[in-house]
Amino acid sequence: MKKEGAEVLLLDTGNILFRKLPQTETKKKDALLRIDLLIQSYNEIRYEAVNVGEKDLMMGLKFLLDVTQKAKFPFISANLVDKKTQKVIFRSHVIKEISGIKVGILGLLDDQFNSALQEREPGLVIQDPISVSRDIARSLRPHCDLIVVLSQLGEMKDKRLARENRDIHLILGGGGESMRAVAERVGEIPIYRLEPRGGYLGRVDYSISDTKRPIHFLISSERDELEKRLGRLIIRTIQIKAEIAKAGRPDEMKAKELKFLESKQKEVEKNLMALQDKNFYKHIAIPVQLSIEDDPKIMKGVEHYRSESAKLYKPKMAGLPEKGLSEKEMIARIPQDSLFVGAITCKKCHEVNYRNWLKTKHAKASQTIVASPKYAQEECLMCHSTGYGKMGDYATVEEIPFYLQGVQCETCHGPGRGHPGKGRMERKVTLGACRNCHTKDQSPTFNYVAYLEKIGCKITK
Amino acid sequence: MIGLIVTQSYVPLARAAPKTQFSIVYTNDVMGEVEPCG
Repeated sequence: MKKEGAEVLLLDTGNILFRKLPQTETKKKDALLRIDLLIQSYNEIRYEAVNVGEKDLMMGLKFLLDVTQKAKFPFISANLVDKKTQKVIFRSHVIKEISGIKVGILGLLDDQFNSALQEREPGLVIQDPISVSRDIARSLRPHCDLIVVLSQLGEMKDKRLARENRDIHLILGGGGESMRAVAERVGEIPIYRLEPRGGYLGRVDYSISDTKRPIHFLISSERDELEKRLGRLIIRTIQIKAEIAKAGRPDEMKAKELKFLESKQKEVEKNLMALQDKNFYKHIAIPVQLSIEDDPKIMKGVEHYRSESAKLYKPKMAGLPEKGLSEKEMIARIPQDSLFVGAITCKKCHEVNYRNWLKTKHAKASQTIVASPKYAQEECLMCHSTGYGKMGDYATVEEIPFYLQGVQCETCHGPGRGHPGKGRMERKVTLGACRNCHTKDQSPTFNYVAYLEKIGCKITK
Repeated sequence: MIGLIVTQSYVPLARAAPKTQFSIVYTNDVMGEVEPCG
């Protein structure tokens, strides 16, 4: 959009650096490489402001401050302050002018992270986001036409923020427990957030006809709906007139309907005219992979990261000691404290399902990434093995224990320890379970019914 | 068909061209957690 000359403000609501704290030196080095790539990419596509998320502080304030030195955009946070001085660490807000409109942008952290934060950084404190936002928005109001909050408060607190701070025009959300996309209005204040992991870009288009201050904005869907309604009324009016003309004689019912349609048409036209000089906004979520071409410069950076990242991990070659063992010996090697017991254990009672499963892509899901640079990437391992994140933190495909390799029975049906006694297995595999990995971006052609058929391990016992 | 033409041609008449247009583009939770498989 920027290349095409469109007037665009590009923002991020925070938590851009880490998913979780790197636990090993290798993972830390990998994270540093990835952060370098991310900051370079954000510089390249010219982000205007990024909110500080609590995960951005995972490696401490000094680390984040060092990262900000490489960024050409400001990190902002209105309520992260020095405990002693109560002064903000980052800029609380920025004001950007775009097409003659002054946009005030402030960033908020959730104060529920205070205790976790103070374990790492006892000199910092997160102030109450609602009251801080009120003070700042009030002070920005005389100087800004539009006030945008980049929030890490999560879905519920974003709603509270909208209810309790009427000086805000737009909340762009992030953080919190919920991972779903949000597009709603509380009062007149729109709150938007996208599904996580950067699969989508959100875009809020503003069109301004009345520049008299203060500028008011209406959601365009009301106008769009009126236009559609008017279109339908016009079509029906034309049809009725044609029917009357064709009949060649008076028809009382049709005449009544025509009169009704014409009066409704006038009413809608009047409502539309009243919106003629209003200002509107409209939100759309753009799927990145499908709609936006890769930037060659950024892709070069991605390739560089992948090759450097792969070098960090010295793969232990696949000579898995479990090969050549009997099933009984394999089962004996599964740790007793493991929640996951492996498909080999399930086979004891579900042999037909096990044999069907062996033929599926699920069974080979770990092998499929062995030869690619993806073999050491957490986001790939997560879906190309079983129970990732719950059973150890293996760094490469080769390190996955044999009973967690591939997408095994327990990925879809849940951990089997205790089954069939105490352990309750999910018999039916829901769409939600599949969607954990078959996301719109990773698996755009995913179809629940068809894919379920492909798995082929239907329950027979 | 006629209706379609009428609808299509009506919209520009009803809408005045805005004086100003711009977009706010955003991303969130780019490093967000996904539910681990299983």
